[in-house]
Amino acid sequence: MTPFVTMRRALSDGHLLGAALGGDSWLAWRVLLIAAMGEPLTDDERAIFTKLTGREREPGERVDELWCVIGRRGGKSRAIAALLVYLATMAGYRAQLVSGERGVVLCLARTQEQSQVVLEYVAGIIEAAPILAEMVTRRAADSLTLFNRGATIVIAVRAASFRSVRGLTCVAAVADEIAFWQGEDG
Amino acid sequence: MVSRAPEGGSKVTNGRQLFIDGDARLKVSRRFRDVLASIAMDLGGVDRLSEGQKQIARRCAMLSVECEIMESAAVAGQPFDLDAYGQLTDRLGRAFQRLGLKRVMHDVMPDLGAYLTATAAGKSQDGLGAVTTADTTSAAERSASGPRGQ
Repeated sequence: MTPFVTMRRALSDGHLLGAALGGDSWLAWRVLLIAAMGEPLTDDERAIFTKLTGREREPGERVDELWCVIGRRGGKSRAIAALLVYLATMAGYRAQLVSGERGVVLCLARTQEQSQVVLEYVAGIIEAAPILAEMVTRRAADSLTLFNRGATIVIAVRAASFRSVRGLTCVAAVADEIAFWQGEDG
Repeated sequence: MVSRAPEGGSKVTNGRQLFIDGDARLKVSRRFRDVLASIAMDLGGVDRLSEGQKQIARRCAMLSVECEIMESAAVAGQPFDLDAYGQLTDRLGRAFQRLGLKRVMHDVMPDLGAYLTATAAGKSQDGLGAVTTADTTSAAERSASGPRGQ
């Protein structure tokens, strides 16, 4: 994954993700996402980061996994949607994809209905940013297909089942409310 | 086909002249130019037209001007050839149907790469409006409130 726009820039640019997580109430989410991408924080942001994570400093490099324990009405779905849009539109995956291969930015949720909520947020964020909307080539019930710098990237949402994720080349994946997923033993 | 360097093209090809010959200052010439410009604008701009579309657009402009000349004569009380007028109108309609009668939006939205290049070069968001914190905040406020308030 090679970002060509920083998360900070994307979140502060009204033509990109600025409208997705703007305003003071989304500051904590912005701090988390910026830190997760390995970008430096300001002192004020670092205080929020420390309060949320118990860590003194941001990681300074892009994390492989970000685990969040978030309560109800915590803005999970919208923040996830902003992250999915960022990963699908503002990063390249040439090193991971061969010619003709479609990269999937996947969101798994406990049910298909729940995953649809995230897809609606994704669609809303993209529609609010005409520059990003230009990249959309196809909209299906459970996915959005985008043309990203010569590569096809699909934002797909699925119910969390091992059967539903076979055969995909995932360049990134988000597990929404994983605490409520059902295992095979119920 | 014989290729030719751009500077060797005719003045019509280069866009420096509207007609191969003739006076571009005449009333008819100027009206032709205006109608042609309107047609091209409706089709999304002259730079989006193929040569075939440009040629049909010229025919449409000429037929339109010819119809207008006949209309001027008719209201001035001069003899009016209704058959010729009808034929011109029919041909004009067919030409426009080939060309497309509906207006086409001119796509002015830059792609992400062009946008990033332009903003990195310090241009003012290339006409999209400067990005400010106020922009971001107001857009966010319009879209929804924060977490716990969705």
